[in-house]
Amino acid sequence: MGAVLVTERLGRRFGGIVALRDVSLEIAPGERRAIIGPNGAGKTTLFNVISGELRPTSGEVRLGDHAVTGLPAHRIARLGLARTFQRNNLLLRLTALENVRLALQARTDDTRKVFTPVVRLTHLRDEARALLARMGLDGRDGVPARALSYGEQRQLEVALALAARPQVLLLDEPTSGMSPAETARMTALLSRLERDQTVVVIEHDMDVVFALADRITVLHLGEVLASGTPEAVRADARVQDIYLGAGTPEHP
Amino acid sequence: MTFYVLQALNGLAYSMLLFLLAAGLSLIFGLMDVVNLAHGGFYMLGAYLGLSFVRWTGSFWVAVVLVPPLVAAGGFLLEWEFLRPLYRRTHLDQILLTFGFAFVISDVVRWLWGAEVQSLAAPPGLDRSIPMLGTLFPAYRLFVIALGGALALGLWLGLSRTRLGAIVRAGVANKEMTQAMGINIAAVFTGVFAFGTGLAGLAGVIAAPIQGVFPGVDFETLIVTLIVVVVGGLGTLTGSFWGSLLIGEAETFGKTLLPEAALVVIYLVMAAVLLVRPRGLFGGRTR
Amino acid sequence: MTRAAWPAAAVVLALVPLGLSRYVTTTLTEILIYAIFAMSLDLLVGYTGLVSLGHAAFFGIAAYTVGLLSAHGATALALTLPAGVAAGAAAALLVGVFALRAAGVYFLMLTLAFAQMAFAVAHQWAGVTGGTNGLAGIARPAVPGLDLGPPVPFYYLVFILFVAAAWLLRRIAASPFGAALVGIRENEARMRAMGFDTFRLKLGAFVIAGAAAGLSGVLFAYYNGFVSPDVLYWTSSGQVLIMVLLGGAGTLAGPALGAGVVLVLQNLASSYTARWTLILGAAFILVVLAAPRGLVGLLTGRWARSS
Repeated sequence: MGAVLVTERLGRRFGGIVALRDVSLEIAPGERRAIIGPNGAGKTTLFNVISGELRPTSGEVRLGDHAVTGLPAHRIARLGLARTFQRNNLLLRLTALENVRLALQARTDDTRKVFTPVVRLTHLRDEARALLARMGLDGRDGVPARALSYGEQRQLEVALALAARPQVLLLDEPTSGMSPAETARMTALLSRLERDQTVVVIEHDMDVVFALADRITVLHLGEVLASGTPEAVRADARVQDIYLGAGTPEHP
Repeated sequence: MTFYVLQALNGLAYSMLLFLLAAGLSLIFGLMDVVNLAHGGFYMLGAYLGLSFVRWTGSFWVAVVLVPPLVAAGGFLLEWEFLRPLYRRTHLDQILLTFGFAFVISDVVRWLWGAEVQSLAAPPGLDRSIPMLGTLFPAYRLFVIALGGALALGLWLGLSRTRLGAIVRAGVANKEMTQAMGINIAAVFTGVFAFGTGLAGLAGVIAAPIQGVFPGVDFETLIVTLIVVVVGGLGTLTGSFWGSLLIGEAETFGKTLLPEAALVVIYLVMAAVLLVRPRGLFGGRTR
Repeated sequence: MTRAAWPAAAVVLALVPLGLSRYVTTTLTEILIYAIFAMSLDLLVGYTGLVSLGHAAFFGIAAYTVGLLSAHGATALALTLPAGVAAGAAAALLVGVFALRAAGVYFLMLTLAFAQMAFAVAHQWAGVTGGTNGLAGIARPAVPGLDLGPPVPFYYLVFILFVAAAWLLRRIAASPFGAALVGIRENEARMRAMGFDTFRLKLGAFVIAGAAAGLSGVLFAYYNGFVSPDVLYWTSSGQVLIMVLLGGAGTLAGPALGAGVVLVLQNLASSYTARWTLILGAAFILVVLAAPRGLVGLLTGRWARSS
């Protein structure tokens, strides 16, 4: 079976600034791919272009059999892609339950229902509750998202993406700002995801990267510097040169 | 042939007036993210105050000099007293506030000056027609074209060559950064708001001999100005300039060539531009 | 708003004409008509977060539709009511397709511009619209077996339609569609990332709001007996917006209440001064500065959310 996510020579400029240059990736179904690189390397821009938030200035993106270059974000989402955001992008005044319920509603036809009270759609509510519990947010259903702790908000971010049961999951620094305990829990949860879902994660925390990733892609100044297995990337001299500082742990 | 040149000149005069209005509105938006819906009201104030000044002093030129600062003072008051407290709130609240002021100005003008249509004569010296291209063209309109062109040039030079202009451009590009560099951004806001309002007042005085002075001119003018900035792109002086030209000429030619459809010509132009460029001709990309 | 409030209000409103004066009945008729108008705008402003400065366009177009049909002898309510509602919906579809594609502030300006265009057309296309004089002599609609001429029967027609509109709008607000609208208000970008076609949803809300505004426009034409370009003027759009803001956006009940407050104020003010526009503007400024959540917000002491 072919790659589930392919970018071909993807480029994105902002006026005079080249944020992405010639980025080509092939991600296999079920793969766990980590995207790492110093700040400003273009990682979030890459996600934005893949998910449709931005149009690429050159190159193509394919999701499964679909050519999705330049499609609007909601069309790409409906084709089986879900993402989280680097900075919490929640519906802050709504409760955690309402947030997740909307994410669930997005992939059903329920939005067409104009006259049924949403509270009667108990299947949505139950599924939302279950998902919140899985994310470690049980009991927080009725709390407005802005009243959640930062770590809980990060968890809610991931919950919204998981609610879509996507084919491809893009996680943008899911553990940023989290305590070690929260990070460990998130890592455990992500590693338990079924292999019918492909996960691409941007991370700075190398512990998380090495715990999850099958393959790592290193971005630097908008270009792919190296791509391969964690061992190969770690041993790459160029990577060692430019990307120090996230505390590469010694693995046995 | 002569007909088209003359109409183009008429359109140019109208475009210059529109530019004065659009530039002010666009600058204010570019800096403060607020569409000043009272802009038409300040224009109208300029026209009515111009009327009164001419009556009191007998001189059109005195009005041209004294009215804009007076109107700018009104803008200053609005910003300082009413808009500032809303900076903590959303831009929408700020826009709605200006909408409320549009109501107030509209009725105050009606109250103080009455509801009849009034007119202001062009000043002596400019109230004649110049023979050109085998026919006569009003000297006053040539004056408006010259004045508008001079102001456009002045604005452009001011923004691009002076330190103050650099500060304003910096503020438009990135408010937080500008403030972090020690510039009192709140003062810049007030200054630009007052200046933009003053431009509207100036436009009101200058336009009075051509457009007439009547209640309702505030919103008529606001709408055309909005169409200009939508077409040209909000927040860009270049956009205001070309938008004014496009709409000014379209309106003028529309009135003479298609009088029944004259009403909708500029709306059609706007619709056409928006279909192709949702942010206006010179506005930023949407994605 | 407690769930009992609506049925209680309905009962009170149903009984009013039986006991109180003709003046009260006709005033309440006008209030209920504007309440429908205000609730329709609330769907846009309060629920979807779309502030339209030109909502009077749909109200006025529907009113003119009735005026025109009436002038040509079509008086059956069964014809004019759907025609007016359809006119409002169609106009909203046309405006929405353009205005909603534009981001943020542009939307606001475009709604204003389109409403002004409608005003200009009504004002100048004298052959069809009657120009500044408008269309007069609109007789009450014909309903088999009923005489809607006197105030009380007409009040009940308006009352029934108000109840129906309020019920429908509340159902819509409480539906998954309504929840999606609220999501758009809260964070449209995230909604798109989740897979919602927000343009289509906003357009749907816009058309529903236009249809409901059309309903109120139809009733207004019959209530007033004539239609003039004033209904399309920007002050008309501003007035319904302040009804929504004053009452409390996002609650449906708030705007209905706001309609009552504004109209009562207008009636009072008009007997003392001609400066109603000035007062309205001042009220607008006051509400924005001091009471952004409106009366309902003040009464309940917190943001009355629509979920």
